[in-house]
Amino acid sequence: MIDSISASLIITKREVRDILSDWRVIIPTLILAVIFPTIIVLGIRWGTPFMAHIDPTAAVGKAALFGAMMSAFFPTSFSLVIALESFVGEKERNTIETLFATPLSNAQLFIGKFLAVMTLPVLLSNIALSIYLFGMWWLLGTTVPASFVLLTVLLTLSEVLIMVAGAVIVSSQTATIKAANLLASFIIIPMALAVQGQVLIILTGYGYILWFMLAGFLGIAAILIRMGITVFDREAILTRENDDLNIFSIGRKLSQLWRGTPNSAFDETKVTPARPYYIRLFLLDIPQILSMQKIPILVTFGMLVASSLIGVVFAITHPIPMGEINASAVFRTGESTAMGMQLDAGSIFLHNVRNIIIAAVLSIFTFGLAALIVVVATFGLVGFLVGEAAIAGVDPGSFVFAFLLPHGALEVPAIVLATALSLSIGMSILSPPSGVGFGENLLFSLVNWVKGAALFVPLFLVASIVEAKVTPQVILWIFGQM
Amino acid sequence: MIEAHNLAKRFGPITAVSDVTLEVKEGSILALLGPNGAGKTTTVRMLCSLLKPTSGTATICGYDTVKDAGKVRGLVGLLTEMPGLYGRLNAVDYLEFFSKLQRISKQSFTAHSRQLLEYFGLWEYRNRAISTYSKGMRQKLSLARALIHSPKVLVLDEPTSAMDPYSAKTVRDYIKDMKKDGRAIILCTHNLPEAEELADRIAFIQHGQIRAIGTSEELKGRFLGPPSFVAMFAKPIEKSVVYHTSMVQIEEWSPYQVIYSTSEPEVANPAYISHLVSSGAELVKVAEAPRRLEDIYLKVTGSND
Repeated sequence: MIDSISASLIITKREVRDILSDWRVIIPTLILAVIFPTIIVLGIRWGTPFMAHIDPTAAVGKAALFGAMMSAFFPTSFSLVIALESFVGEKERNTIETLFATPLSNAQLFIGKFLAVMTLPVLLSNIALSIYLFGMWWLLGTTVPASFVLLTVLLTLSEVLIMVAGAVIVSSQTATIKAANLLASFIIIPMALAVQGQVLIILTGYGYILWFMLAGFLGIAAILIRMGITVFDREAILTRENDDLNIFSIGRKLSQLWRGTPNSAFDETKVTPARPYYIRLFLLDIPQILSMQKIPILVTFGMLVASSLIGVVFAITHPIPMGEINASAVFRTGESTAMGMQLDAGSIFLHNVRNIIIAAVLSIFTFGLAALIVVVATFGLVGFLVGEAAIAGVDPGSFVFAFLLPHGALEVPAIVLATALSLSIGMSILSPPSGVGFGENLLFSLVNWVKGAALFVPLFLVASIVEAKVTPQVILWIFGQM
Repeated sequence: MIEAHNLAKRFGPITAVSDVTLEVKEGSILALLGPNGAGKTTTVRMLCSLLKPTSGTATICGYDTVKDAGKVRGLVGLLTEMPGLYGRLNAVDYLEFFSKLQRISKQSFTAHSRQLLEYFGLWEYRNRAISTYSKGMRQKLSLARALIHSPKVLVLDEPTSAMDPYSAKTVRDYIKDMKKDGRAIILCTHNLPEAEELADRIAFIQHGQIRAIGTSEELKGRFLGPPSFVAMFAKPIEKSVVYHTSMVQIEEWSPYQVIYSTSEPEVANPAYISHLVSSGAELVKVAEAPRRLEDIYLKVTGSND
């Protein structure tokens, strides 16, 4: 392990030295790290009298926190410039092949580059923060709370981790610096939004939320670093000639994956059985897909159960005030069934399928989280309703049996399967099988999703008919007489 | 030391290399010749564990290039076709960086780097930034980098390109020394006289396949036929005298010159020359007609285009 890291550090050392000898990097860096915090301190000093008119008690305090965060963040912004050219820059300068011809593993190369790009921005960020804190104390006699300084340091570190990991991945997946710079907007825009969010949180006075944000950022950073190590492929970097999106090649691959069985997708030696496609789809492809989705299905099911329980607990801890809504009457009379009767099967079906498709598309950009959010939100609400029903004196078992079971028996398996397949789409770029590119694995997961739809879409269809026609009758049968 | 069996590499629908089988023994040099895009670089990259073959296997000193990739990369010294250098470093720092990656001790590095830099005439420029070096100096430094860890196998792509004749000779001499020292060497080059001078065996590669492989003489015999000789005369000679023979095949005749070929020059030449002299020919000179590697190259690669 130590030996492995020491090899990475050899690369890090050379890279840092190279960065420090480039005046095009050093001059803007110094401006950001030294001059910028000084300007912020002076700005706060001169702006305080004006802000005091608006919020005399909190103006300086909030400005001090805001200034600390900005001072620490700005020097890190140039880390993208260095990170984006970490691999693709070496490729353009023809130095990458000699580096790849050394005994270092892919992970060692990635980590070496990653640490090199991280080092300087983090160092400068802390220098800038120190200058700012000193300036605030010296010129304004204001000190920023130690806990907030720690939070700022950690938040900035997590942001650098995300930006650098993302940029190094982009650099290892593009053929030219120009293409890498274009793709950088996928990193810059979300980070800019995140920083704006932080500022809003500070200004609204809910600083504790930033700790949750930090946890989220660290999680994303961990995912991106893992992804970077997984998708780093020296062969692909060496042989990538251009960044053209080859629609025909993608089409060919999709066609091959569609025609083949999932088990033979990446193994050219396995022969796809010649049967009528629709028979094979149900006899071979879907069972194979289900077998591959064991873990995503378990995760989805676990989230479903957990969110339902959280919903119940939330209902108990935050009950609907009985004075405002006669919940008991709502549950006991057929009032609620009228809502169900107003919905036709087609609307329910389209609503469900639309949500599943949107979740699948968003999963590509959120590592599958979007799909899980749909499950968590839906079943959290279900749990909440069950809890409220129980509080209103309705037997939870009867409630579930009447309101959920008739269509849920079909809809819940469909949701679990669709979510598991969407989760796989999101995770496909993180851990492609050995020798398989993440683009290829993404196509594979998309094809599996479409094949799986042959099972879950009919389930949704039947469930929606049951929900529109059968469930209201069951509700009336059980609750109508009460 | 270097063995490849049915190596193939496909990039999507494109087959870059197919069915390449070759062997380079300890203390020998194989020249890999072929036009641009023939598959030389892909073959070499597979042998250096930079690319995984689509099919087939290769070993370097008994280590599989896929399973033992890290080990293989430590055993091979690779000089790439376009060796980029870290321009802000000086020569010593550059070599030290790669020696550390190759796990060479500081002591070995100090001695070996000095020896290499001195041999290639770079010692006095060792503290200058590489960005100030000429093309030839960069090429020599790249070669020194490929040799810094004393690799058992050398893969050299155009080792003397951009070099002046003196530097090129220095490098060729070093390669010969490496061969004597027991290294297995693959030489990719478009410099055919250099390939002929250095290589024990020559392989012609085109469209990703090895079209011909053998020693220079074997290839000449196979592609250019038996050796030809030119006999020149001081006075005109009768055609009947020239053609009065079954020992050699006459290819061309003129009153002052005859070009003939024979597959057994040791036997046929003395007998035929005696015949000419005894028939009154005033012989000025007899010499073997030059048979150039270039002719084989054009024959092998040109006929298949």
